Amino acid sequence: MTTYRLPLSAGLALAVALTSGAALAQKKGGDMVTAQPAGTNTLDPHFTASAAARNMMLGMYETLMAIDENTAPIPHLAEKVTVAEDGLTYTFALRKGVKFHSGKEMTSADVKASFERFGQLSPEKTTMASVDRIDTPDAYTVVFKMKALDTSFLDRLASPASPTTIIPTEEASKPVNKTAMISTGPYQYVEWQPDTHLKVKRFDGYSAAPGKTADGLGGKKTAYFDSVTVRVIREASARVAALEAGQVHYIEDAPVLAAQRLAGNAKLKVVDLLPAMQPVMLINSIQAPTNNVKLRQAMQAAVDMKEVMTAATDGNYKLNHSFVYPNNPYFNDAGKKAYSVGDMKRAKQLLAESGYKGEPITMLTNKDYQYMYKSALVISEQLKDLGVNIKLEVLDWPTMADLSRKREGWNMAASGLAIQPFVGPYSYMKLFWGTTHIAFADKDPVLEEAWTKFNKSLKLADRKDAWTQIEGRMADQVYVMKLGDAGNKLAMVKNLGGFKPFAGAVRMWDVWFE
Amino acid sequence: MGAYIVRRLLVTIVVLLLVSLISFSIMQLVPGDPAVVMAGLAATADQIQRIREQFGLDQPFHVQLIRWYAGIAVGDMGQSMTLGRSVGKALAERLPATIGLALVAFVMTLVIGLGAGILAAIRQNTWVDQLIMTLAVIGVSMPSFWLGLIFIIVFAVMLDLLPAGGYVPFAQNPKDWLVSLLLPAFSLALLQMGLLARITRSTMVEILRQDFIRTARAKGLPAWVVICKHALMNVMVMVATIIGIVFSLMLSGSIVIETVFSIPGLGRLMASAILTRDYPLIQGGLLLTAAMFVLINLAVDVLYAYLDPRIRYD
Amino acid sequence: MTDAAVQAPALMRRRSAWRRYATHRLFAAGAILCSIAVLLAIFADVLAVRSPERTRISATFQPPSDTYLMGTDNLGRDVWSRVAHGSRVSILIGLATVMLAGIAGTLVGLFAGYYRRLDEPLMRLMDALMSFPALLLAVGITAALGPSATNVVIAIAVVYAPRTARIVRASTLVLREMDFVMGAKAAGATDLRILLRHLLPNCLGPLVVQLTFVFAYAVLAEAALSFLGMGPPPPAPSWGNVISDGRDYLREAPWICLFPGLAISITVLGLNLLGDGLRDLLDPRMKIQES
Repeated sequence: MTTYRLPLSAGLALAVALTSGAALAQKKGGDMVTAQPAGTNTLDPHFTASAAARNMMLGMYETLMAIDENTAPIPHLAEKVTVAEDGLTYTFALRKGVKFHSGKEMTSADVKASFERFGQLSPEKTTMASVDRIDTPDAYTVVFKMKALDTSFLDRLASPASPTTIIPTEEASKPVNKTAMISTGPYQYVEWQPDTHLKVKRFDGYSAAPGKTADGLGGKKTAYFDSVTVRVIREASARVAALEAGQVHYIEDAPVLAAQRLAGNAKLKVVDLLPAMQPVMLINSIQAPTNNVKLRQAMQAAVDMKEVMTAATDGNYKLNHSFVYPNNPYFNDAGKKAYSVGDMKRAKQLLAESGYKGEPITMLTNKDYQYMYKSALVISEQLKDLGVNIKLEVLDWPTMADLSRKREGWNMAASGLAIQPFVGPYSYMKLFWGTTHIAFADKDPVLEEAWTKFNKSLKLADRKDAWTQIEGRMADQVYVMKLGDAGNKLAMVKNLGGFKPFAGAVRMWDVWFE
Repeated sequence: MGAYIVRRLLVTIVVLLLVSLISFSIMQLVPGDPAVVMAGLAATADQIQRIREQFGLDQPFHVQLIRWYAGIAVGDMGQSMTLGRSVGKALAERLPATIGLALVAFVMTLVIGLGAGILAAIRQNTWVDQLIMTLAVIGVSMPSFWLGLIFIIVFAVMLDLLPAGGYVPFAQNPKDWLVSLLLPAFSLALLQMGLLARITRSTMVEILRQDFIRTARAKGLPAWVVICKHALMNVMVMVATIIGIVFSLMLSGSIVIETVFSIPGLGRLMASAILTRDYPLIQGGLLLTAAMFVLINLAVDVLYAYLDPRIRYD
Repeated sequence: MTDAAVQAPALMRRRSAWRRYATHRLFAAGAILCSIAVLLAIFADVLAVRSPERTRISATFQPPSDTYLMGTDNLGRDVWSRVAHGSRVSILIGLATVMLAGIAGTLVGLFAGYYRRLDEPLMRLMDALMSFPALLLAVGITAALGPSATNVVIAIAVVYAPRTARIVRASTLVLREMDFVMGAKAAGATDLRILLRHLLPNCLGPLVVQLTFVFAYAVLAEAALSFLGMGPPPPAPSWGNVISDGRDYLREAPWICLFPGLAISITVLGLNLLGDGLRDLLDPRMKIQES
């Protein structure tokens, strides 16, 4: 039996000492204003998957499980979770006295209703596919009975990609976009204008998880600000100008050259978040001529990722062949050999073997996401040097996203993985397996077998093996070109205390104005 | 005259009906599925279908069209797909910034354009005239958004005199409001200034040549009195007749200028509505701007007919 | 009269016409500026030897120098090459727009002016089209059809065809009542013949002037559409695209935006001067028209 437990009394004395010591610097108060490049058209707790929405909802909404600083799952609204030996029963003991923003106490009924709604509406509702039923033996116990072994279940419950937010029962029966924005987070909803801003204020009835401090997206969170406003400012230059003018206190995605200037400003500081996301080049392995594996290998061999990533990120990147980050337990070198070779001789040889005769290869990209645009420009130039007949098509993001979802009409498409890499191997869901997978390949028995093995293995070593196999196979068959890990320049006022960058999310708890 | 106004009204109604038909049909040609866009990258097929039904995108063309007209009849232009509120409300929120921008730009156009045109006419065929007319033709030849970018480099980056972008609502601080609009308004106004200067000059030259002016001058009245009393009135009438066009040009320019200077107005709203395929918002925006143009022209014509009974009503 | 006798004065007339054009200052200045743009487009390959699309990561953000006349952009592409090759895109789009708007506008104008029954419906439709702010309508149409060079041409032509139609109609209305048209009608000429042989040639003066301005608007509109991401898709280096790509680096590398903007301004200035000149020469009574 495996038990995940929150650290309770252990080290409590130390924790108290630490908090009282630090209390000098930390103080409540202030109205925080942040700016992000994109808005969202839905704040439904179960309906969204965009990074923009997640950052807005993060302070309001909470889940049973959360990810810690190293993206491992930890109990959050649950005190502990116990997994049965056979892996078919998950028993959650809820924390007592947790209040919703409405003032009502959270019980097992709310949790059950929330998961049922998630199972109907969420883009990642497949998470619930392996659940047979949810039992609530008492007000503070929730039991998930599984149909089959599903070893990644807890990781997915903790994933912030499409969170399994807990909301009150009475809200859970409402359709998409009709729920009141009520959950258990340290901040509560004030107002929202989809294209301009979201405002939240400190929830004074918040019951924090035990522990010393916040940890990842869980742990003991403390809201210091009176209110937080997230403003939507699309143009990078305008976000920078707003920060310089003191209209906002924190911005994401500052252009690299502007960030250098901001770093020289006495009132501001710049924090590097690297890695922040993974740009990729999708290859349609069903459509001719890219259904030819030799041709795909030739193209892979020709591409120099150093050039591609320098252009895509203005130099803010790290080379990485893997679909998980180096600090992740599943990180492996299976794809390293084929990555960023830039060997024209070998590429030309492979191209000759492939029998490619100059058929046009359609590469899709868009200008809404500049990194996609720039990476496609450089890759297409490199492939032209190889002698491949690239037809670059620059569409707008909506049209491109629509087209690249179809089996025909394209060969390559610039894209990116923003959220998935942080939950480790689950980017596989995005690539091949989930309801909205973005890679196109005929059924590959090697991949299928390895993924099944991954999900049916209880031992970490076996799962690592399976994942290494998957990455090796993906690199060998060149279903997707991993380009590298891109960074994100976070710029903020210098007196923002306690700030730690966290990949894929902006945390407005445990930070304060000094 | 009553008959003329009635006829003018009827024509306006016909044009408005055509305008709304064009506004509606244009976006029916859009490739790409707006429901896919709204649902986001990770959406499932049934999420997309749900949105399609919610906004009536699954209905045949004529049903959507009838709904569109029925809505307009009661002032309802539908719900924005991306903003979570009605199109009317979204447009109304953004209108003040654009009106403010257009207003400041219009004042600049009038003062500088008229002034330069009159000066050129009085100093006809001198170096002053030639300089002004050269500047005017250069003014109508530069892309306004590029000019805006150059102004940002010069006035915001190099001289650090004016903000590089952003907008302060009038109610918040009138002085900052004006300061935030100086650069965008000037970039926007330059084209109209050039046009107005050219038209003013040719109108003035014509008027100054006319007999009553010559007579007045011959009677020994000072030049400025003659110009103020007689010529200026005629020029103002001319300005009134092109006010609709100036307004339309400004709305046209606002789509790029508001993007360059990050002004939350109608133009930027339209630019982002088009990128996010917000059908109802695009339709509403086109309809609103075209209807404003038609109604301004109607008002000018009716006023003109009222003030100057000699006009031919055919 | 023999042929030679006819030819001599005609030649003389042509010569003096040439002199008249060449000595007209506006026309001459406009013609020179336009020639620069056209020559640049024709000889782009010779004048700018570097590929306008090749990215060179080792040579990004180079300021203007002997090696890079107009500097390089964020991907190390040569801005001078992009401006030189961009002239092709802009001028071809301008020419195509002039043809499309010219043909459509002329047809509508002729029909509306000649057939009284068609006048009202056609011109109300033109009024409706002209009620939309020009750029907004063009952006709407391009968004509807998808961004491509062809669709940009269609969009700008739809915007400016009604303005052309109005001018042709105005000329036709006057010409329709003239003796030579009445005479042709009485002699049993078909409507088509009257429209093409008698009316059209006499509308040409104002039409040519108007189309010169349409050319200028097309170059400006293409730049604005590209700037908004609705123009001919990259990597084709249209002037608007180059400005749009350089906008993020305005503070650090202003040369990326500066030069293509100058190219646009010079070309449009040339066209405007040419138009003014032509108006003086072809139709001195014409006033400055609204756009």
